[in-house]
Amino acid sequence: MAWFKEATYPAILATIVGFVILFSFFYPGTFLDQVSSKLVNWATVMICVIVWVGVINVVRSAVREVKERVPGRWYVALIQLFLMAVMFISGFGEGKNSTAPGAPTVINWLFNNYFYYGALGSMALVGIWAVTAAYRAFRVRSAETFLFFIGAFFVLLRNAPIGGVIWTGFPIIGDWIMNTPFMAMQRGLTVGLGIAIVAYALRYYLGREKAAYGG
Amino acid sequence: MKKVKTIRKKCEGATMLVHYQSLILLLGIFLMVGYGLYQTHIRGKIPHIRRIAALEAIDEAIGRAMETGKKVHCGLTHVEIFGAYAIQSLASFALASYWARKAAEYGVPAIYTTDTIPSYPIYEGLIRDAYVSAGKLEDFNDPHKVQIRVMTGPYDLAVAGVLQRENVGAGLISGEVGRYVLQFGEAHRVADAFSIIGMPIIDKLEWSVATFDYVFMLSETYAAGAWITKDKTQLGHIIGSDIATWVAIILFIAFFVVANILGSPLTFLGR
Repeated sequence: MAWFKEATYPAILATIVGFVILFSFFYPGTFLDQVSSKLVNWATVMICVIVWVGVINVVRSAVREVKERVPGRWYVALIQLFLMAVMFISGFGEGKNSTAPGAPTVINWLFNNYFYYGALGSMALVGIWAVTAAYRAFRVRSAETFLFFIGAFFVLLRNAPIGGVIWTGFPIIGDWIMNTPFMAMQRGLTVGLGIAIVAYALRYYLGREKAAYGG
Repeated sequence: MKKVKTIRKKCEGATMLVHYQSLILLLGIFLMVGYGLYQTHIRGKIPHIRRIAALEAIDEAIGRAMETGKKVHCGLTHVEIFGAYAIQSLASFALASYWARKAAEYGVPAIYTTDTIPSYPIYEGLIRDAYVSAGKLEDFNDPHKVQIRVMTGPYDLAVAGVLQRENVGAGLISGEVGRYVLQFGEAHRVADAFSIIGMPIIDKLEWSVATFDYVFMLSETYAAGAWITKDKTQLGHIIGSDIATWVAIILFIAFFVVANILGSPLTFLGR
């Protein structure tokens, strides 16, 4: 099976599949489109398998850290394994509809009462960082940052209800900034980015960009 | 114009071809990339590509972490392996691969994280390959040297925890970062870590420039692979995409002028 490990063969496969899916977009309802739908369905099934590979790798790595008592990490790995086991058992034990909204199941209870609020709480903690980052971003250090500050000042006051109360010109200037210079910049960058993406995709289809499979 | 409309009708009727304007544009870009390949392969013309500051900063970042005895971190966020963000993800994988190879060469302990479970096997595979190509497979197998983690939930907070808890000296974040870019930037600043970000999408680009030390800006992310390998085919693609960009700029200006003189001559293009 050494041939399969060569990066060339996955590249050839990716090239064929890539072109089929790409051109099926232009020919809906044809044989090409049907083949493309099948390939996309296969990819969905493969992703389900890949998730398992990911789970196995995570478990293997966590078990190794616990066994080797890696300083500062083994107890985190132990908690990770415990929580994975709890979610796994509760999810599988209660069947495929256990995660349906409102279902009175353990996994739903854990998700809604533990994970959801924990995640919200932690998001609130990092919210303050957005403020400090904005403060750093708005420090005027050069002509460019001055322009950035001016633009952001008007756009912030355009979005904040108090802006229009202070002066009716803030929403008008903010709208102009968003609809004229910002839109022009955005469209220019989007076109350039689109071209770069197409060229990159072609490079990938031709098998020259092998980073994703270790080339 | 009449002739163009007739061709359009024939195309739609005969082959069920739709989005033909997109197909014409796509084939046009392919043609220009083909010309770029002709330049590098047949004529042997190797183009000069301006240095990508963020790419060169990777060496500096990892080198500095090594000197200060700190670890390095590489995080990939929203790296979907198929769907709308697949191409962006591939570009992020290329950056991660380069980062891993440099970390392996310098022998710096490295932490690799992602919040996308399906991409984990690819991520682990490319990190392994990077360590193998650097001749450091034993480092890859050593949990003190390499950690690879999947961290779902609030990934930005998880990264912040890793940066502070693990004494990280340099970090790379790439993927569809979106509105979390501020949190990632601040997490690096709070941990006093050198920060680099790969921005393969346009969303929140301005924030990344304001908060990170170095940024792979949009097409730079896609050109990085060519810059790293100096491969003739990849460089040919860069020439092609540059030509396509210039054509787009010329068309923009031409359409702007024509539209202001003749009204709207773009009925054919804008369905």
